[in-house]
Amino acid sequence: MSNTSENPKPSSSSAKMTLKTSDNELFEVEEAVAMKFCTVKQYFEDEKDSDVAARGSTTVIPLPNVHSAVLATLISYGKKLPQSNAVADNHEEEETKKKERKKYEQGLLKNLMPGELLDLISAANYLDFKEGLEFFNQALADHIQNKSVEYVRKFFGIKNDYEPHEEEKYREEYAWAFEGVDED
Amino acid sequence: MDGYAPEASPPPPPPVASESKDDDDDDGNDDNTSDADDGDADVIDRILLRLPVNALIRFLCVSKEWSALINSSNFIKKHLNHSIETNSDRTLILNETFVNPRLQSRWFSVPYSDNDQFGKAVQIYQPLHNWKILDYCHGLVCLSFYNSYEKKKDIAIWNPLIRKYRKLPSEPIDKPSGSLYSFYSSFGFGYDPSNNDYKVVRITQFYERVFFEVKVYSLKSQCWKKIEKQWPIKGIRSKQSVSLNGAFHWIVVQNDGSESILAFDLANEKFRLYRKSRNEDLLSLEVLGGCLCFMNCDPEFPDYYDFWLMKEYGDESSWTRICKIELDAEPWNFEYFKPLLFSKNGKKILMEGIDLIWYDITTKRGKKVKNRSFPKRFKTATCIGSLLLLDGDNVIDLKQKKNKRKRNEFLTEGLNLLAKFAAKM
Repeated sequence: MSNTSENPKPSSSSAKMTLKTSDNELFEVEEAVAMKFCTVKQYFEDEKDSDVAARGSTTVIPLPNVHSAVLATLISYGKKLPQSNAVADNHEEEETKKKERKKYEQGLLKNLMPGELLDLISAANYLDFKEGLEFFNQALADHIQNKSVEYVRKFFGIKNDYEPHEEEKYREEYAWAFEGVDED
Repeated sequence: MDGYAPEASPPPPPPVASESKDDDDDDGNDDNTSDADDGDADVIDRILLRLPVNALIRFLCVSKEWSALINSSNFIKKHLNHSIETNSDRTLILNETFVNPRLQSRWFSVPYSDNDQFGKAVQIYQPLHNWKILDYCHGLVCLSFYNSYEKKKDIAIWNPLIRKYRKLPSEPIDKPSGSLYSFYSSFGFGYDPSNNDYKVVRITQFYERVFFEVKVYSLKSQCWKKIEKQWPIKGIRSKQSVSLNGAFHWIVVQNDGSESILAFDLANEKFRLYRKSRNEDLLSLEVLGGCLCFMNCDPEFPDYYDFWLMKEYGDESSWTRICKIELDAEPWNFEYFKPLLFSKNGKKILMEGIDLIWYDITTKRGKKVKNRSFPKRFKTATCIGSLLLLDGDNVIDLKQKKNKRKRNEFLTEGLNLLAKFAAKM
């Protein structure tokens, strides 16, 4: 039967949970990874004493706010993080893993459309996935840091409520901050 | 058997972290309230927190809401804390020294990455000419200028990364009643965490009589205040004070002739005296790695300097010698050097003499920082990205002013041509 039914602590990485997305896709995820989504973890711990826990990994946890494509990326990122129940690595292994993760992160960002970042951040926030939130927040900040004011307005869907002369005043006063900005 | 259990209700989203109930931005609402969806405001807030200051200055004109957010003291504080934690926008500000008096000394900014790499020095425009670095804190550089006419120092505070500054109002020295006294003023600049304020202290001692005039300037209230209580010491030995943990520190001489460290707390305006660890005279007091640090020299071994750190602030027994520097080992070709900061791994100290040197504590070797873009001789200040003094005066770059005039002339010509063309249509 389920190997976690007696012991609620995630001790073996082969224990799995099933998450269901807004578009009705099912994702089987290792418990160690799913526990990084604190919302899921809290849900799981809340149900610990109830009948649901006895059924262990057969519970399907619905995530109506998260689309499958987004969840797939978050799970993929979660897998690459150091696992909390893993054996401690020596310094060399740690450095190699760090480099691998950096490479993976760069590849991941390259293939993402900037608009997807907002969805990932929103989902990571809902799931209370701290490492994911930190990573994607930083990725979005890095993406917009050299962009023009017009680009940022368009990206976040912000209406410009300044009068032309007011905006011109800012641009004159802080002309230096407008130098070297990426072309739209 | 193992079928899928009936769906339970979805897990609730995580609780919103308790936000401040203050109204630091004075918009009439709690700081975390906005007209837009609260969730959206949170997302924006978290992204803006991670941006370098020049991007934030540019994004002031994205919308009125963004401008209000960036200008709010709550955001400025959060952004500063994030900068401190991540060393973001860390920059060295270099002030050229030993310059021909007919020329002006130049200023440069050098990006200094989290892994101890120096970028290229770029010349920057200073707010006032021939002023010198007094001290620095949280992205602010305190400057001083000796006004020989009034025989006292003028002070200004500058945030070079956002090009803002404020010159302090001139404050008279209240001399003890009677005839002329010769006197000497010593300054300090630092952060008062209890009041979230930045302060400048001026302590003036008079030579003919043991008397101290102490005044403190608050950046928040933009005015000077006098400290009435007299200090029970005989004299001040440090040229200027160092600021740490909301207090200013000086090396002082007590009434019995012995030396101590005096700490003046900015919040409660009380002072404490700390003993140093050794009997030798202190050469200087500094701050290194968030600890009080002093250098001393054993008169029997004048070729060695000892560095001591007060590892636990306030605990006199925690003075620890962290290194003993042999002066004859090259490249020490100057008498005094100031420790600036530790390397990321804590094994090296960046020292400032005439220029910069990395001193390796384990190998006991010093290595000069070679960077062709640096001026030959300079003094250094360390900055991180902060929006403090956003409401200050703009530092005007004369070169930019010239370019602006040219640009305006060009635009005017273009508009005239367009008008002529339109008239023809």
